[in-house]
Amino acid sequence: MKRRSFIQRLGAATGLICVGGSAYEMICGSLENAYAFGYVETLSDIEARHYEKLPDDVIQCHLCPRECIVSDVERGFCGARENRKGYYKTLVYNRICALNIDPIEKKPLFHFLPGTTAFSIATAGCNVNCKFCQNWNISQVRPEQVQNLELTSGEIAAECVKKSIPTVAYTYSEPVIFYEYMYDTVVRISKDGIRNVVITGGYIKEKPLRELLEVVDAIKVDLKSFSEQYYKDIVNGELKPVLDAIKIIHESGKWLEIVYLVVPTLNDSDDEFRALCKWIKTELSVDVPVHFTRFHPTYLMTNLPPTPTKTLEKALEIAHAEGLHYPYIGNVPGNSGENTVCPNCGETVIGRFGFQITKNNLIDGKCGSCGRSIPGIWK
Amino acid sequence: MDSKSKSKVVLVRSRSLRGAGDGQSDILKNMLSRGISLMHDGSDPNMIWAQFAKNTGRIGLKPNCVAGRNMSTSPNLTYALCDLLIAAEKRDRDLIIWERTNRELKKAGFGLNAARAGIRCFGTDTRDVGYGKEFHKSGKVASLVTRIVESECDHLINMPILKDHSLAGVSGAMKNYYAVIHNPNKYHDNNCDPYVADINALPVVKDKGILIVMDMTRAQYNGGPGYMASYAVAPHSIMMSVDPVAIDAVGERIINDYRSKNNLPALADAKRPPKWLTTAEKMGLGNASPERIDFIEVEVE
Repeated sequence: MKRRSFIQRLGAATGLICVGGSAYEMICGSLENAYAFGYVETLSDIEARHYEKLPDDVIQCHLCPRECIVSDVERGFCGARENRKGYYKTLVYNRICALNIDPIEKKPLFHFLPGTTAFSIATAGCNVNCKFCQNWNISQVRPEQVQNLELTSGEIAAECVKKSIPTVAYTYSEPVIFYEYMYDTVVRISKDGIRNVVITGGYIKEKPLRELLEVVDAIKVDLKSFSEQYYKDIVNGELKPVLDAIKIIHESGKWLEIVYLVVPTLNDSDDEFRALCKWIKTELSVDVPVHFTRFHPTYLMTNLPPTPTKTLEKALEIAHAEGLHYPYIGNVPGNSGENTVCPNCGETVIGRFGFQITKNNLIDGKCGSCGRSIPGIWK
Repeated sequence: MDSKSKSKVVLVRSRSLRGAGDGQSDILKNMLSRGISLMHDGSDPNMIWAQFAKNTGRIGLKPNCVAGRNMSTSPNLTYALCDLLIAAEKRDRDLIIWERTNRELKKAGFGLNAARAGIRCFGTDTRDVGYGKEFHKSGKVASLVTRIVESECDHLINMPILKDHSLAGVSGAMKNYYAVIHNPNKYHDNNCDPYVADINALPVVKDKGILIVMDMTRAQYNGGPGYMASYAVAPHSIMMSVDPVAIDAVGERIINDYRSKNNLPALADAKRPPKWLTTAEKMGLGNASPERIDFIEVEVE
């Protein structure tokens, strides 16, 4: 697919509400056909940020807590950065492998411009390797193994303006690994009044995170468990740096929502739900939305069933009992746990069915029934 | 590989060899034939090559082309082996020289040929090749496998070049097969242990391997896997075995000898012990212990 037809397809996608299916499948086809289509493009050769030069052309990356030490001709764990003669290069600058116009609810961000769309982009690569990744065919591959299109921040801004899309979402794979492209795009498109939201696992070092927080509008963090062992065994990462990142995001004042994918038998105990909710209440705020979302078997975790709805409802019950104001259930269209309920009067402020808004009784950021202020970015 | 019996590793050196053997095909063929003969207790090499040609289907030859022309497997050596097999009546189109990418092959000096005639030479990124659909799992590794290995080749000849690796310690036969999988960057933690062993334990790799020819016309004892001239040496040698663990264990010893002569700490002291060798031995992939390796070293013209 050439550049023009890719953009044209994007135009066609604008009218779609993409319910289900991975980003990659929507736009790019499948990995086994990636080469067959002849999509392999030249990768970028832009110097990365947040790395340190070591002797003998070795570098150490300081972008994420993994802090890969990478020799010449080798790549970091993410697969999207390569050492070329002692210079660390990002291979995915301006190289998009997934692109959709999504409802913002799909991110999910429930307290951020509800009912609007987000120009959603990703590049190949990821700094963890979750066994349940639904976008593994872009996140767990190297950039040359997928179809890439060169798309500059200026072109993204122009598309958003042309199609009246208020937000760009950096999503699907892991935006931390395309940090330079994301950061520069955020800065560029903000000039046109377009918002920026980052959908991330939160596995990022403090310095690049704080720089990013200076320019973005909202971050949704996938907190994959409240257990270090789970992070080690299932995610191939660490919990503590993610918790630290979440605290920094919250302290920055930028809008934060948390997603917790509930995987049967692995992170679905009442104790873990309770510990998570207590932590949010103590370290963050009862006003931080947390989404308990349903797992579907995929990638390397096909031996488990989808999460029973009752498990998610139990998580919601525990969250309410711990005093959280905005817990949600995700990936269960039609469940009442998708709705935003006023913590004061108990009325539904925003009703949802899947990614659709079915009711909006929010008036100037307040509950239309009792007038209580509902936190979020509403306009 | 029966790890209970001794493994034979043969090193053949020729002082006549210059660099990567440019224009010295006859010397390289002589080295290969002497090596294969010694691996088979001195049998007639022509007879052994003939058996190779007869008893195999399509053979994939895997050089290591990561480091460019100066520190990749010599095309001269690779084609010398192909010539010997063709002379033994192997069809040229049944020989496939492959790597991850065409770019790497070209940078190492190989000429691409994805056609159906002649010795074929192409990367996984060639149109209509790519990776298979099913995940191959072994220990901690779960990956898609290049279709070249999964379905194009019946057998594999591993043709690494011996060099230092900043994380794995040694880049030799076993590390060379990182090119089999789609996500090698995920498997470098903990000095690549147990991942090197796990990848080599994938049935699609283990069961197809028939020979290892390690290029030691040049080698690198520090600063790898990229090329660094200051650490490159020319041992004028090749090393052959059917045991990937044993040949890499000998390779470790050779690298450490060079490091010692050049006042560098041993790999273990440089925080990159190839501990995956021990893991591989425990998994039954071959012999790492010196007492279980029959190392034969000869010199030819």
